[in-house]
Amino acid sequence: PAAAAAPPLPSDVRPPHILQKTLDYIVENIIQQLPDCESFLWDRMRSIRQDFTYQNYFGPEAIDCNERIVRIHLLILHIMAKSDVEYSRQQELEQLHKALITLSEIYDEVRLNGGFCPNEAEFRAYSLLSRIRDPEYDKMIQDLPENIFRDDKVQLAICFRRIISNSNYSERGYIRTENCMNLYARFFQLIQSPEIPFLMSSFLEVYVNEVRFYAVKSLSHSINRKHKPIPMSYLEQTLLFNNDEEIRNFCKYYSIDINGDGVLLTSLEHHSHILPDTKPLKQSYLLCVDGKLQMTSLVQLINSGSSNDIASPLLESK
Amino acid sequence: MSNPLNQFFQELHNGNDTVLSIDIAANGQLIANLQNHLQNTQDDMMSSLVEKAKLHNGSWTRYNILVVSFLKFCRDVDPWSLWESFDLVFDYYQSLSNCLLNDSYPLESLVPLFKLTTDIVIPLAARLDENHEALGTRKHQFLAHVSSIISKVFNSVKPKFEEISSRFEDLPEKQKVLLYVSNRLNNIYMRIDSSSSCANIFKNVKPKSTIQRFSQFPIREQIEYRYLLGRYYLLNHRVSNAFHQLNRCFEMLASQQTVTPALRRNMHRVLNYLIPAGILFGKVPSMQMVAQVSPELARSYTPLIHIVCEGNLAAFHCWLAEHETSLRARRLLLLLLEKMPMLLYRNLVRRVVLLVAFPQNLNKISYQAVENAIRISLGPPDRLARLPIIYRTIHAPENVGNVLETLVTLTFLKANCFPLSGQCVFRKTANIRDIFPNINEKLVILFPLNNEDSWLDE
Amino acid sequence: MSFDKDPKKTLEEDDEFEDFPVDTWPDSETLRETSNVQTNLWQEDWDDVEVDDDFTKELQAELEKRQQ
Repeated sequence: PAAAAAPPLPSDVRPPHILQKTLDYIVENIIQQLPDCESFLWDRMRSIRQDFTYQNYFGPEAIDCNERIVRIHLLILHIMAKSDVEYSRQQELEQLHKALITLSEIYDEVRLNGGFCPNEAEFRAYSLLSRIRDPEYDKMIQDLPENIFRDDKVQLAICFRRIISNSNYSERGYIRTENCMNLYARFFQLIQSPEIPFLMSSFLEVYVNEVRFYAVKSLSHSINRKHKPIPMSYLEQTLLFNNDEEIRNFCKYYSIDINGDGVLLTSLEHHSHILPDTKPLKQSYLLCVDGKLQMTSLVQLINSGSSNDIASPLLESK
Repeated sequence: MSNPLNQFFQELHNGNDTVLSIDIAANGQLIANLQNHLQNTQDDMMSSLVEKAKLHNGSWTRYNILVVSFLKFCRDVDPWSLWESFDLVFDYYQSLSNCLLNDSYPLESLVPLFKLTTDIVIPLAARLDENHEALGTRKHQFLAHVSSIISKVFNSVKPKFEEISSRFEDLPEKQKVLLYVSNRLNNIYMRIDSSSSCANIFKNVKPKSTIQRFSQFPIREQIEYRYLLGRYYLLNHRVSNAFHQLNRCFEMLASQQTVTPALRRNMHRVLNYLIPAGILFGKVPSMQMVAQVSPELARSYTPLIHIVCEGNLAAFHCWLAEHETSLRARRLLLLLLEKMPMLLYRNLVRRVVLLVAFPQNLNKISYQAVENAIRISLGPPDRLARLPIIYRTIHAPENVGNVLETLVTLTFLKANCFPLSGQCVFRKTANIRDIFPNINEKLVILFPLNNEDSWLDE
Repeated sequence: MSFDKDPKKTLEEDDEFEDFPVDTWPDSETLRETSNVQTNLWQEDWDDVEVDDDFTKELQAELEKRQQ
């Protein structure tokens, strides 16, 4: 929408330190009111990013704000999935991707100038999860220095990319590739583990519906056509549904038959998790991920990481 | 003694554009003469001299600009160091390429000059980029600049409107260098970490070409084109396509009668990518053959062949860790991490069937047996404990159900899974091939080659 | 290539084809025949590779033990 609008007056653009203060205020006072304030937050965060862009400013305040904005989007994804408040997931993801791309560009630039951003690895890990099936990101991460590549979060993100790679994935415009394993059980096992931090788990929840779909597809293609119904409890355990009702909704959405004994997986006829001309299934959330959130304070969660001021002298010497 | 500038203009009037070459080795005498002659000629004076010469009746402005940039080059170049004179070279190169953009001018004789200059400019730009820190330039600034110049020339090659030609010699000059230009561009893109830009080149060569068959292009360029295309596919994890192009490339190199050291080094370059692509594609390379080209490659990959054949996951991950730096540098590490385990699992489960089911004449194996096998294959937990996370987090014995399902859905294992009772059932047979078909044949069916490349093989 | 010895810096350059002489190819027919050139680079398939090693023995022993 901003593309068509006239550029703002210089007097209307906030300087970097004010933008940082604005975000401080949001973190300390607004995010606690999620899910209700989601659209307000979305708007304010976008405008902070825009003000940096208008000034063509990529200094430490811009890095810091973009980093925290990514974390807030990741928090929002989980909270909104759990809530009944209406929101546009697609717009949330869009802003999240844009902030990640901005960060990647800044990190590249800082590195080219011999600088160093202390939180780069964390956000490179999120980038790997943001386009989880795009080989371009595998190339990107292999190009980066060893200390980034060997970072725990980056390594875990690399693992998740392999775990759900799956040669039977199908989506318009996507080219399937050879020998990909579909290790969905591992996906759910790991996401429960305390080793996977909340923000990363929240990002992974974005993929829960499709991981479940391809799990069911894999099962339905590998079991005998006359296989007896699969009990709800089996699916609940392996695919980490929170309750029977979620399974029923899922099966209804994909036209999978259920009878008194359980789910008739072989009745699945869809090949892609995306159904044409159909509203997507509401994003799932996992109780285990919610548990991780309960254990942290929101302010600490968003303000985690190291100060970016360390990158500043090098940036400004440009 | 006659005026060298007049002589130079006379040559241009006669249509001899080779005198415009900045190749000191070939054109040094003329350049030196012009340098002496032009020492005191100012820029504006030079422009008016060129205008007065009425080259091409004075109607081709870009040609005049080219001639001026050439004369400036002659006047100012340090003949002992192109390096010191790079701005002159790039100005000249830019002017030369600008002349090639509009086909309505008589540019035929400039195309060979462009090719020759490109061969001088790329190594120069690469050398400058290697010193970007000292020069205060961006990491790939010069190569990126060169690529933008070449890509304009590439884009100016018109899609088919000319008569399809049956002989390479009869093609317009720009058509003749189409593959050369594509290769230079793709090489630069690979080098400056912009391999995604290759897509546009690979997509447009055929629509732009008025050649009858791909095989009419100079063989050297065909080979290099396939090499680059194969590497591009591998970067995009498209194994079957990568294998096809790299293997064809290798065959063409191997069919050469005279094996020079340069040829052998090129074979080595192809094998760096072809061996992993081939293994992933369900093929087993002959290590005797590999060793003839490269003993180091044979040494590195021989253990991997055994590891994959055994289905030894722990050893596989150790092998990756051992070769991490070089695999990562070629962007092969994550490809192998993702796509090799399928083969290991297939071979491992096959072993279980041979060891457990066949001796007892059973037509099924239990999940438990396979889980045990995976546990043995992963080794004791402490074996991998010191390796980075990517080598010890993805695979686990509990994956057994997903492993069998994946093998069955991809038709690498002809069986039915019974996840509730934990059994995998196949037909009664004494022939293991009925249960585990040839993987390569399956992959050929499942992942057909890109149709857009079929003209390369016609 | 020698594994783990190439500094990454020069790798891209190292991976670029160098100029090499080509045999003359009189006509396109000769070219086509190269597709039949037997380079012997590829063996049959995995199932022809014989392995008789410690890993297989361990596997066999373990599987037998657990079956009892």
